[in-house]
Amino acid sequence: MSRFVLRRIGLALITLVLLSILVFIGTQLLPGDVGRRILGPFATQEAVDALNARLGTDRPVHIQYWDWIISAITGDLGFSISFSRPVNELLGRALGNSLKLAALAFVVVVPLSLLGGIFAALRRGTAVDRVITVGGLSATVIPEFVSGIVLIIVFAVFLRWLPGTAAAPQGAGFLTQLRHLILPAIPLVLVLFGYIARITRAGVIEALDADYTRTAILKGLPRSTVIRRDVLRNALLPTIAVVASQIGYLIGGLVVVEVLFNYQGIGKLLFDAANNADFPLLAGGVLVVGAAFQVSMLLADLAYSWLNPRIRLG
Amino acid sequence: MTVTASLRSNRWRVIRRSATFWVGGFIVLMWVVFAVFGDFVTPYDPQGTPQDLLTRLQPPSAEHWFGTDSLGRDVLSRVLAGARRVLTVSLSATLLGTIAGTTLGLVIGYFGGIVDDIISRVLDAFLSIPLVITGMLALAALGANELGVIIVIGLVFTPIIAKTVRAAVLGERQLDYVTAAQLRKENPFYVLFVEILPNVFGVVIVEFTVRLGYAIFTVLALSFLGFGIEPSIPDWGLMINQHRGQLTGNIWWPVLFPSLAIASLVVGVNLLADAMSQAFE
Repeated sequence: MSRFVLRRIGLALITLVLLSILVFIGTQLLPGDVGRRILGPFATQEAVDALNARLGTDRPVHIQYWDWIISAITGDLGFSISFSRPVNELLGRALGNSLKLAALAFVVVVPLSLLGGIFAALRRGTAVDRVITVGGLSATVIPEFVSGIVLIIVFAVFLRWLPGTAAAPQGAGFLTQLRHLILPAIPLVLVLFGYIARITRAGVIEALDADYTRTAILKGLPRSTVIRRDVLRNALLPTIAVVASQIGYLIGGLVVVEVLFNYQGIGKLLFDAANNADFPLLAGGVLVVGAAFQVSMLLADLAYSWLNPRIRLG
Repeated sequence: MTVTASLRSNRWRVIRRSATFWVGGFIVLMWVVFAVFGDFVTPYDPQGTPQDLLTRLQPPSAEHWFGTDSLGRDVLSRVLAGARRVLTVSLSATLLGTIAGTTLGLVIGYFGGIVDDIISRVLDAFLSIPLVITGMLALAALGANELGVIIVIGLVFTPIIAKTVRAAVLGERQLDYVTAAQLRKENPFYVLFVEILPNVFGVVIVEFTVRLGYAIFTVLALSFLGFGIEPSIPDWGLMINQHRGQLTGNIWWPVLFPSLAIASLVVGVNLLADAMSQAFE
């Protein structure tokens, strides 16, 4: 067990280092002359040089990387050019907002998609199964901004039931905030639903066909007991890993959803940073997003191995 | 040979009988036809004419089935013409990723070793950033244009496709026909591309269709966000982006119809991908 954990943590660390190098290349090397990219083609060379000196982008590449990564590890992600604020502060507030939205989506989608997947598997081959499978697949592949637009048109423009923006007025109470987050959460729920339900369904079908299930049924155990004790317990294990792996897609979806609903989360922040060529903010944001994804994958693997006796005891 | 041939015809039978294949294929074919022959079927000029400014933001009517946009251009014509951009950009990006990824996958699967480990780690690092964010970052860094979108998506797809092809090659490497070719002292690249490639082609086709779905998704998400687009070319994502501010004024038609077009195209491509993977796996 501990060998597995150590190996897994080691792999995560290597991946994080590679990630930081990729982010560094993307935000510090690809733009070429960073000062020129920010100030545009009409700025004087002196202004560009001065900005590069101030940003430290005139030093050798490996020194820049080393400085950047050491500060990042010690919790300092630098200073945003377009907001004139520390990147940490901006990211912290945005992450808090995104977390609210993501949490709402997760709380709804996890039970819903697990039940949907189990239900479809137990009625395999029937019309209900087809509806859940094809409906789920379609929901998964339709981009969030498309379902979001349709939701806004139906519920905010035609019916006027819900607000079409996610930003609640200053100092709004919990329920008002929640009301504003309902429409933005639905596109995320739709995208995740099909995927999680599909994996759950496959897991349950595999467990239903397994020998141990046959044995349990032939022993004369009631169907409900077999399903609870043998089928679900085995089938839901792989689903945990899938749910965690969806966090990456969730963050990608947050970009378009937050832009569409004008919500000040991490996606909107990265969007603004990219639009303003704010490379320090972009670097910090992408690094945090990637690290969050790696940590959630790590936790999922550890939870999986802890729940799976073949790994825990092996 | 006969075994392979019967396996192939068997796959065709599975595909032909699948309703998903026909529905998905019909939708995709429809959009391909509009993309190719758009200029002949659009009722009005999708680029607009100066006279259009007199008929701005008209709701759907007998003359303009999908209404007109903020410059008075016919929304139906722009939706039909918009198929061309998304399909050319997504197809080019997916083709680039598939060709590069298949080559890379064949090589690392066949030779294995340290390259294999390095690629897997880099892939993990790449995959921890959502594709839309990678795209935004690269386009912000390189300056946004269509070619940039194609290259970024193609580059991100390369290691993903390589990983799948590699796994398939590992399965083939043990087989007798590969050993036979090696004993004949064939050039390794002959073995890879003439012997192994045809046998993993099913995997490549499935991967291509699945990735095409993701490419369309990403291309449109990026154009919705305003990255990598030429404003004069009709594009579904851009149409939504330009007109969503007017939703509050009850002007829904320039936004709803491109959204429905996107939904139908991605569902069509993914139904096709689903049918392919069921037939080949």
